[in-house]
Amino acid sequence: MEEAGVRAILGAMFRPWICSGWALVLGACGGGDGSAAVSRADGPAERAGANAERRSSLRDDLRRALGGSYDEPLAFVDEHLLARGERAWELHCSACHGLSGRGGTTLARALPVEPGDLADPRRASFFSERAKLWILAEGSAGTPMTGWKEALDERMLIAVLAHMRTLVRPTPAGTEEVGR
Amino acid sequence: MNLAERIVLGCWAGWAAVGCGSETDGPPPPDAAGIPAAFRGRELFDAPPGADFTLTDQHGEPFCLADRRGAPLLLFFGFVHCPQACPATLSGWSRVRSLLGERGERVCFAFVTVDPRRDTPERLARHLEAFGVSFLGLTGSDAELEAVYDAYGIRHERVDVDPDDQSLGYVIDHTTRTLLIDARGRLRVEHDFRARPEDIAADLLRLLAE
Ligand code: HEC
Repeated sequence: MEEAGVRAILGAMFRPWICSGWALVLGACGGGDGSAAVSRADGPAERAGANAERRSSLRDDLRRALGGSYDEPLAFVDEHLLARGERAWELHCSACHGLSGRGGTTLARALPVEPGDLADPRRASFFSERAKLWILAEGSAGTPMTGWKEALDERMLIAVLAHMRTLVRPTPAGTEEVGR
Repeated sequence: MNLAERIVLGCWAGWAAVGCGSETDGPPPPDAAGIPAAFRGRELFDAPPGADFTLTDQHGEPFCLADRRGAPLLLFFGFVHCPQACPATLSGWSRVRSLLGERGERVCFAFVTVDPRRDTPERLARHLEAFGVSFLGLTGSDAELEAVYDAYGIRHERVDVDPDDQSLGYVIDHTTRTLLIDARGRLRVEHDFRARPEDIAADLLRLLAE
C-alpha cells in the first residue's frame, strides 16, 4: 500500500476525532469493496470465508498502519467510567451485539454481516484493543458496524471497550490461541 | 388527515420487547405472474401526494424526487447511529433488493437522515454501502430537511441518553415507517420497520406492474 495512505491512517489514529474519511483509505487497501465481496458470495460457507478474509486483511492493514502502537494498551478506565461505558453499551450497542456481547439478537441475525460472538475469547483477541478502538471510531468498512467518533468521545469509546472486556468468557486452561 | 397521526412514533427503546413478525396474517396469493392481488402493507388511500423535494445524496449530488418518476421509490427517515429501527430497515431493504433481482434495478431506495449533524455525507456513504451499494443517503440544510419531514409527517425528537452526562450521547426518536411512492410520485403504501422483506418486495412488484 502507498506510504501516504499508511501515514494518513497513522495520523488519524492519534487524532481520530478530527480527521474523517481515513476509513475509506483503509477500506480501499483492505481488499477493496468489502460489501460487494460479502454480499455477492452465495452460500453461508462462501460468505463466512469472504468475511474471514476481509477481517484478516483489515487486521493486516491496521497492524501496518498502527505499527508499534498496535499492541499498546489503552488508557486506564476507573470504576465510575467503566459504569458509564456499560450504559453506553446497553443503549447504543446491545441491539446488535446483545447485552452479553454474544450477538444472536433478532437484529443481529438480519444484518448483512453478522456481528458474531464478541465474548468468545478467540474473537476478542483477534484484534488488539487499539485496533478495536480504531474500528469503533471509524467503523468496519462494508459492514453495519459504523464508526462512532461522531457520537461518542474517545474517553467513552475506551470505556465501552473496557466494559466489553468484562464480557469475554474465560479461556479454558491450555486452549489459549496465541496469534499475531 | 395528517399522515403523522397515522404513523406510530417508533421508540428505539421499545424494540427489545417486540417480536419480529409480519404485519399481516396470510397474505393474498399472487397471480400467475407472481404479482400479489393486494398490497401487503398499509395502503394510504387518502394520503397527500408525495411532495417533491430536492436534497443532496451521500456523493454530494443533488437528488430531486421529481426526476425519479417512472419507477417506485422507498423512503425512510433515520440516522446512522440508530440502534434499532434503522439497521433493521436497511437490512430488510437489502433483502428486498435481492428478492427483486433484475426487476429491482429501477427501484430507488432512499434513506433521509434525521441527524444531519452527525450523518455527514461520508458517514452516510460508508454506512449505506454495507447494506446496498445503490442505496441513497440524503441530507440537506436544516431548513430543507424540515420541509421534507413536514411534507411526509415525519416526527423526530432528540433524546439525550443522560441529560447530566453528554458523553453518553443522544439518540433520536423518529417515525420508523418505510413509505412506498409509486411511479407517478404518489405516496401509496407504508410498512412497519418490522415488516417482512417478502411483503415489501411483493408490494414493489405490484407497483412495478402498474
Ligand atoms: C447495527 C449493528 C451494530 C451496532 C449498533 C454496533 N455494532 Fe459493533 N459490530 C457490528 C458488526 C456487524 C460487527 C462485525 C464487523 C466485522 O466483521 O468487521 C461489529 C464489530 C464490532 C467490533 C470489532 C470486534 C470484532 O471482532 O469484529 C467492536 C469493538 C464493536 N463492534 C463494538 C461496538 C460498540 C462498542 C458499539 C456501540 C457503541 C457497537 N459495536 C454497535 C454491528 C454493530
